[in-house]
Amino acid sequence: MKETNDARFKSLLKQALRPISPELQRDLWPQMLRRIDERSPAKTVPWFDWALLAIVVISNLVFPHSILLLLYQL
Amino acid sequence: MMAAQTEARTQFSTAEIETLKRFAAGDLSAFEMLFRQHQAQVYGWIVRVVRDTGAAEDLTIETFWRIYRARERFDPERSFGAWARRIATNVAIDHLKTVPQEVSYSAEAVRAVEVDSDLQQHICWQTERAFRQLPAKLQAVAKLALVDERPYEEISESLGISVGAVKSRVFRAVRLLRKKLKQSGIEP
Repeated sequence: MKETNDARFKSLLKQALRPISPELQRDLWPQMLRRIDERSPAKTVPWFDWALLAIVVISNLVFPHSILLLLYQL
Repeated sequence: MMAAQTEARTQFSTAEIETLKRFAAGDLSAFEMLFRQHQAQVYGWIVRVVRDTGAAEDLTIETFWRIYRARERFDPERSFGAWARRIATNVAIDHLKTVPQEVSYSAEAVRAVEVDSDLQQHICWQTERAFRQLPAKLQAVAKLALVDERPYEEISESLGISVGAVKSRVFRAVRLLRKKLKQSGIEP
């Protein structure tokens, strides 16, 4: 009796829920690539690199002799 | 646990492990290979849970995006498919939480050709309505176990819970569904 009830219940659920095909109809890789491009962090220069560059430029302007020192280091 | 890992190691060929290692290291071509190999399975699993083909495609992309972001945490000696399925299940359950619980009667009319009478159509509508009102985790388990009749072991692996916990969720889902249907005057 219980088994009949369970079978009836299962068939009711199957009828009520939309039948779907589990087959994938197209390749999703192009969409995936777009997602990776959109969401990946942009290749930006870190703030401390800009700060370092600013320090070097300012020190060269204030102390022009430091240019020679810089060239020697390079 | 150790036995499972050893088994996994013997299951995969050296080339597969190499691909998984390259993926974990961030190689996009290795990721593409894995994507193409597993996209159909992941989609098939998701569509069984959400029962909406358009949403399932988006959720497949979301699943692989989460996989891609978590690549450094992936252990190349374990099954990629099982890992992907677990993430896919979580993504699908998250989606079910956002779907409106109410289902319109007019949408149901599309299916009218499949059922014999107004009464049967009403029963289907009430059943789907009751289904949507279940908590997302119970909905997912009930769809997989009762509608698609997937093995409990497969469901337990994809949810990361024990078979006993799956059975308990199915039992709770059935009890809730019967209760809700009874309240609508339907005795299944």
